Amino acid sequence: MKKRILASILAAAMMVSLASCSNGSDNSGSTASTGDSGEGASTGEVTTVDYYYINFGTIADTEPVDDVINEHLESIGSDVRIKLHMYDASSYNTQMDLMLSSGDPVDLYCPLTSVSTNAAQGKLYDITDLVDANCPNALEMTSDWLDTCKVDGRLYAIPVYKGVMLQNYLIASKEIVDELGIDLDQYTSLESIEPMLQQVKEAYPDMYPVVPLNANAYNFLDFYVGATNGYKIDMLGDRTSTCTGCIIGDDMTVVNLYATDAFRECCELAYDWMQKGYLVPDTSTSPDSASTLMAAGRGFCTTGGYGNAPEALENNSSISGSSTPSYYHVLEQPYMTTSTIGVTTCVGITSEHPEAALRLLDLFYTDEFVINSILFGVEGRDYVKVTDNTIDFPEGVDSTNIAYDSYTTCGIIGSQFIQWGRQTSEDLLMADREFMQTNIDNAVKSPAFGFSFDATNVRTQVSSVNNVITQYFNALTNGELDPNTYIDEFVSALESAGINDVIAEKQSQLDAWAASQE
Amino acid sequence: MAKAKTAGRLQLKKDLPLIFLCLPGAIYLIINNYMPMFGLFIAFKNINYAKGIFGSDWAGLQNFKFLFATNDAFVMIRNTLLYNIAFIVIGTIMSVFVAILFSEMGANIFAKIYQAGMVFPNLVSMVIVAYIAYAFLNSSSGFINMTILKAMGIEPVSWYSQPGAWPTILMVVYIWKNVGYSSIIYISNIAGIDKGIYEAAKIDGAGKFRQIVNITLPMLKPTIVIMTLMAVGRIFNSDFGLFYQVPMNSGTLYSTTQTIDTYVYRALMERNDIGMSAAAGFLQSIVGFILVVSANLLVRHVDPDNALF
Repeated sequence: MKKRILASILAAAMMVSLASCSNGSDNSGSTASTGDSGEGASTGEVTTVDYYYINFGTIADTEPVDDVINEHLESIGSDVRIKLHMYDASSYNTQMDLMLSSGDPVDLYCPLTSVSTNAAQGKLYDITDLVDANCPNALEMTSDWLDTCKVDGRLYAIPVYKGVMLQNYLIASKEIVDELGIDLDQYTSLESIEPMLQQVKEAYPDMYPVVPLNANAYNFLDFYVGATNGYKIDMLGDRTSTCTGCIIGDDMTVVNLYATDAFRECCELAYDWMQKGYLVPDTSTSPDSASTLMAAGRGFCTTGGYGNAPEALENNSSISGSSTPSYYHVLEQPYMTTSTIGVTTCVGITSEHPEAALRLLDLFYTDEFVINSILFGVEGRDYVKVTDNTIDFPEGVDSTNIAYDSYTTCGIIGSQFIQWGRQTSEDLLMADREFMQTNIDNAVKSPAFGFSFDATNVRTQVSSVNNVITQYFNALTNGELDPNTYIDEFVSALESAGINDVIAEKQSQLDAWAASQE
Repeated sequence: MAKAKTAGRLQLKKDLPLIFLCLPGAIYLIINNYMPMFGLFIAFKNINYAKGIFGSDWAGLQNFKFLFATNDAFVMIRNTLLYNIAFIVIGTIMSVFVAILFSEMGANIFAKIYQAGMVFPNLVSMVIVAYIAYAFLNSSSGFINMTILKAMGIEPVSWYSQPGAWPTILMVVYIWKNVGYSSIIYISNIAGIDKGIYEAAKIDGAGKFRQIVNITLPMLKPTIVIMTLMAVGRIFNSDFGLFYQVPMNSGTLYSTTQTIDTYVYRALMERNDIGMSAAAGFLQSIVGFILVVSANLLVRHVDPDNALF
């Protein structure tokens, strides 16, 4: 008796859980296909595309923006309509995974991790055969970069066309640079700024000459993997803080980044600067970043990568209230690798109308109104046009009380070259676009550009290796640990975590890729 | 046989209201605690979003491998177990001690104030606790370095890169945060002890200390056993906030602050792998289950009255 009751309870529970799963997908399916499809009856069949995007600021009501964009889409005779879904950066990835795993239709979204990993997990729709007909403009604009979005010759994403070449900037407080009469133009590498740091240290003993741009980590290693003074290192799909194998220059042999001279020199520089008092002690645990430290007068300069032109950045630093007016000076050019093209837009595996999704995506690269409405909201309410390409806040509106502001989405959508500028001048904006374009045209490309690594076979080792990296990486690159003893310890810990398996796997995939290129 | 059946039916009729009474709770338990258990099989799957959760390929024990792939496995299991054992032993001793002190104070206004003061830390979020600890330990402006050690003429210590100091620091933080709260249950137990027993003891000439040792502690034993059993069941789970937030995620401290939970979190943050996370959770639950059952067996063997089931 008891057993039978238990069995029936379990069976009931299972059915409920199964039913809830299938229900979920049915419901969401119907909402997506209905939507406002009735409204555009005059032009015949229209399809509403769900676009999921990230906002790094306040989450706003997107419906009024849907309306203005859809009105515009109708007026240009397009057969697609848009439904915007704005998510906070911190929950976006989890939310997308949940929706994709539960079968909710995700038409267009921006996977924050690599295309190869997402494709291997089956999250992305294979768009190879659909792109020619549905998004020719996007395809043409990004044609040089499309290889980075391919897995086994199939296309899974379209890169965002933007100033991807993040220049490694020295960002120094205007006030102090002017006061001490420093000429920033004389500096051409990270090492060369040391006399300036010494000068600042003497003039302001209470100030840290270099503070980290983001809390917890100095990004000096970016300089050592760069293309001007750096070693031209391609991390084959990883970042400096998660690198499981890289190639240096034209040599196609995969090696361990943390055992290279580049990493050692970076750690030695940081350790030396820490000893001399140029860096913030305990950076790994300190919650302070450059913006707070520089605003409080406790930091002089910082380093970081931006795609924009120095003039545009200087203009930005002087208008937004929270940051310190600063000079931006390029010290190091980046190296163009597959991960440089890190931001893409994909069609989710659960999409019910991938072709319409791609037709909408194409407009992100060509239609100023669509993309700028997504970024800036409704004209008159959220922005007013100043010139053809520049806008400002309307009377009585600022960043604190604006109804819709998704300016921070600019780097993950369509083409950056048709985006308007807010509170800037036409000249500055054009100079910025030209700067970004020049850097793209003159980029020094890795021989493995286009190769992307699929870590599925070695995911156990990758997880273990990443754990070892988090244990040592920050402390070493922030100059808190003595590189002479700890780099060896770090490397042997990596080896026991299985980094050599990952390197071997990377090498064999890279060799196969190289062979297929010839 | 037939008699037993009718008796059973009568019993059921009598219990029906009670059964209905517990229905909402039972439904909640089934939905919240039992249904998600079906997800456990994700631990044995190689999740592919295109094929769905049910259609994905089986992965065998592949997902469990990463937990044991490195020597980290030893460090994190050691840390998790030792910290939890220390928390159970020292935490229980401290809470019983505090409870006895409070009940000896009687019901005056100071007792209430102290009690509220001791419970308060439990209401503070771990993130805030982490920053309180940071205000003490920070090497350039921390209270310990700048005030205490300076007054004693000792060089400042960089606490966030001294793994050796952290077992003590975490212990202190744990006690500070939890003892007040966990002592409440003992205080209420002591309040429930028959005053007559104490009076009888007093007449027999037992002093305060004698009364505590021979009356209070034996009377508290069942509660202590149950509380300990419950804690033992969670011995493979660690207080994530305590081990992740308080050391400020400092890599150099991993040798003494890495526990299974923080390891899993760190390893999987990068790759967002559902299968491996499920495997880690699965393992923790199984080991926890085995520990509870065996601890209960042990208690039943030694002292059958106090066993949980």
